Amino acid sequence: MTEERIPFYRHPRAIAASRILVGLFFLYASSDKLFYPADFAEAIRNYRMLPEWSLNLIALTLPWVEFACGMLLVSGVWVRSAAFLVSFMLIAFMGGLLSAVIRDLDIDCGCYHGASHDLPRRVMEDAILFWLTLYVIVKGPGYKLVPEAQPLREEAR
Amino acid sequence: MGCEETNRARKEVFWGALLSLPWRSILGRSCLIVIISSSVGLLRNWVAMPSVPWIYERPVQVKFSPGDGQTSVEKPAGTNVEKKEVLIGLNLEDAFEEFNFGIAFVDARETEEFMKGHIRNAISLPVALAEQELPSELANLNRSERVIVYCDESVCDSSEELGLLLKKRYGFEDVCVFRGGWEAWLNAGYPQEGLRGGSSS
Repeated sequence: MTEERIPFYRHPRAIAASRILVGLFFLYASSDKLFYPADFAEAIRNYRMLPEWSLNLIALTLPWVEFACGMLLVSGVWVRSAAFLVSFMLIAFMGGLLSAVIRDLDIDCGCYHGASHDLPRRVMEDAILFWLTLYVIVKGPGYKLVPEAQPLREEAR
Repeated sequence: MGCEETNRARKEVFWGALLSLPWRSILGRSCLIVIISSSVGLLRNWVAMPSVPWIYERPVQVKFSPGDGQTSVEKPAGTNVEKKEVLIGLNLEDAFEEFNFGIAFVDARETEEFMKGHIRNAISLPVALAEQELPSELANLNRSERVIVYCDESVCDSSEELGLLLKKRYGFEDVCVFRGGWEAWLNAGYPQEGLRGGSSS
């Protein structure tokens, strides 16, 4: 019996690496915003796209959604749901960044700690992450460090 | 032809896989993630002292004019003032106004770049050099006088770095950063020297 060779892009470890990469990125991106929501609100305000009353509410909640998605992606729990939310956020971020590029705004993008003002580069980063996320949505969690528990019925047999 | 068919088959497989996903549970769990994590965020803010108001309020704008001393900034809730170590930022117009007042400009770029062109009468002081000693033009300056630091453009960090060095190590009390830097100054056609060996106004 010869084992069928799995192509690289379908390998469970490649899928797991993608979700962990996206997860770690989101964990890092949220880390600064979690503790300094007012700074993040100012960063969102600089885009001049959203009504002012909504800025603090977004700054108080969005980083926590990012953090939760990052944790879930890294740990391999509810991966598709987390990836779905991440893809949604990435589309929104890319929209905001592109509009800032078009309007030639020289602003701090509010993406993560240490990100430069190079907005086109940030758009590229988000686009790459978006494709990785789509891949995770379609393929699922991939390789899991802790295998899922077997149903009780199986154990009884 | 064969290649086209393979591509079409792949696309069908992709969309087929996407559509056959358990979307009901995915959407349900996504809503749950959003609700729980947002609640945690709001709760964390409620517990934090001082907390950030839910509705945005514009921060008080501090207007600076030549001769003002350094204004102490009270730390507002949810901001990281320590990280920023606020140096007053000046835009192009403000910087030009200060230039006309005869305020000292310090160029944080490398010496070669300074030689190629710089703001007229600016003092060259790359960060590496500033860590060793101050040039005499700066050393003789009164420490309470305003000093404006600039580098290449708005995204370079050396002006901030040099500004903090001047403030902390050499005791300059009023250090500002010209955010637009050499690029903005040059584009505006303001007085410079060294460019192509000459000077212009």
